[in-house]
Amino acid sequence: MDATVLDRSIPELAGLVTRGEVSAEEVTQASLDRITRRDGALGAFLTVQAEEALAAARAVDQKRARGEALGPLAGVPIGIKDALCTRDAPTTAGSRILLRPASKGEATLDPRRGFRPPYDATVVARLRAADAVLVGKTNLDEFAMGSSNENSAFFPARNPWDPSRIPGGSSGGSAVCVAAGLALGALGSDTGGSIRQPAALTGTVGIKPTYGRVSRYGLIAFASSLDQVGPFAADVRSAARLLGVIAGRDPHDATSLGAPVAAYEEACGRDVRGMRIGVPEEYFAEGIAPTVEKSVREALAGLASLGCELRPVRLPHTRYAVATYYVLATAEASSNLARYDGVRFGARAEGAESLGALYAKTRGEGFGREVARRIVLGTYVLSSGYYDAYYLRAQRVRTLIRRDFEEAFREVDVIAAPVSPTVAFPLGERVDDPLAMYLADIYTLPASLAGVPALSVPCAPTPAANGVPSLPVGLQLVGPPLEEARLCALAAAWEGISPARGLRPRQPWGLRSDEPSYAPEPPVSEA
Amino acid sequence: MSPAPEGPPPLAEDEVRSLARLANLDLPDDEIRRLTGDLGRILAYVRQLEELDVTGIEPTAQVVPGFGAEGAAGRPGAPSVEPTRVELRADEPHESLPHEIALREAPRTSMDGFAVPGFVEED
Repeated sequence: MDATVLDRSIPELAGLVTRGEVSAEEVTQASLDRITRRDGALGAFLTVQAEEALAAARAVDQKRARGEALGPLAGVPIGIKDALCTRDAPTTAGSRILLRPASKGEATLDPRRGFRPPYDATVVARLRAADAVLVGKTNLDEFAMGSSNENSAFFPARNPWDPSRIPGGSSGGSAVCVAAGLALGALGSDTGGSIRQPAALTGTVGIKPTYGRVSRYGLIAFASSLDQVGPFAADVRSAARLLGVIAGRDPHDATSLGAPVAAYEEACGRDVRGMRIGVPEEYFAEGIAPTVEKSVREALAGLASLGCELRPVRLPHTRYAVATYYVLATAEASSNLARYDGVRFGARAEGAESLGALYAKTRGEGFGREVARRIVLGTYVLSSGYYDAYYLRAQRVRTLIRRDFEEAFREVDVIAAPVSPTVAFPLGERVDDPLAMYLADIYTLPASLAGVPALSVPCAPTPAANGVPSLPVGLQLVGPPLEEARLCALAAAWEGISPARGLRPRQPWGLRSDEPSYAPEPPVSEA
Repeated sequence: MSPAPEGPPPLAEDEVRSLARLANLDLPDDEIRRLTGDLGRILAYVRQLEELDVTGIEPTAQVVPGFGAEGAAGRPGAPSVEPTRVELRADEPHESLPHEIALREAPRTSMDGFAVPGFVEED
């Protein structure tokens, strides 16, 4: 079958499957074949569930053969960030600590030995119910902590536009999976930018919904007041369709919102003339790469050409977002990650003679450096004596950051800004400088702290220069709570005139000749 | 970005060691040293929060309405879709994980339970 069927949009492909013009099994096989051919060089997937995916696809085809109506994602191959629970399929959170102990002769570091959850995350169950086909679990920074995917305990994911560069993180594998056409969509999670930033750096569309719009049940918790699940896709309509499937109240997540789910896909194509777009100058401050600023400003001019009205807005507490976030998120993480103790699931250190030693040894061996750093920082900011100075103060500054947005949204309908101050950087460039890595999250953290929806949509890639190839740049659109449909409308209108429209990395699977092969074994089917 | 004089002291290695112990993390000495440097730099950066006067500002713990975050809805500039208040489910019994499934992923089990080293004698 023609594998370019994978380069269709999700609504188109679901239509083809629903009309019987292509079978879900053929599409799934094409996706699995592409993963086999391309992913060795990219590392997007930690595990691939080939047999389960083909069985699910055949079930969709049989359903059609019986004359039953198919769901809105009929036969659409999807990658799932490995921080989301998938029933009986390995789930690692990118960490050693969720690996079952190896038997003799087994490799110690194999994601296929990951924790097998007894249930599906609600978002995963909703995808299945919509007749999507889940092909595998995507790579990530350990426990979603990172902005480059280099904190994966297994191997880094690589950017298909230049495999010597990071794809962003923490949902790097999900972004790569879509950018390289391995699947049509993917789910990620965004705590401080973990969907938007990798989407921007890989030239894909990524949506972080309003906090509470999408259920977090079955998402391995990092920072519970910030975590939110959202979709990746190659275009806005496709991402909108995915969001429509996963959004909505879930009795299993008390923080999920009961407000009606808007018609996100239908919003794409809506007239955006007269929309008031706020441009926060704080987001074009010191530190932004000139090529990124140029591309984003061109996109703003594009929005004006669509009949939108650009207005300056102030978000004066933006500069405090990094400090606020790295206090609050680490505090919540230190609490959430206390559950990994070597007793009920996952890894367990050998030779511990007391319960305390079992905990400490299991956790010391099981967590990677960045996770340990954040747990200790979180423990510090919550400890008596420092609680008021750090944690409580950061919570108060969070209020100021929220108010910035409330004030701004009295004046404008949407805020438009860059996603990341730079394009994708080379692997290894920032691994030894955690603060530099944190500072690059400055444009995505404020919307996370405020709980408001935001997305990244590609704008013009940077021009190739000085041996650096052309690389993607994202435009960030931020809206008031529950206004995802408005963001989709604007993003789709921009996409229609964007110079990035339809751009794909030319050789996503190809390593440059001077690149060492980094993944000795491609991920293998569970079967 | 200069730290306020009355702020907490910079972290010492021993302090990081005891924090790691509190967090149940057994880390080798070279990691503790490295961590001490990293945390010192991060905390020096975080101290810029001290520039702000937050007197009388309510802390935000949660942004969901019904969880102490009533701020967003109802104010000017509020969303056109009003978030509804979170409803608590009825307090009724429901199914939980079967015993054997709950134990399935445990690295060690004993007598139909999770096996751990003896701890009764511990302080």
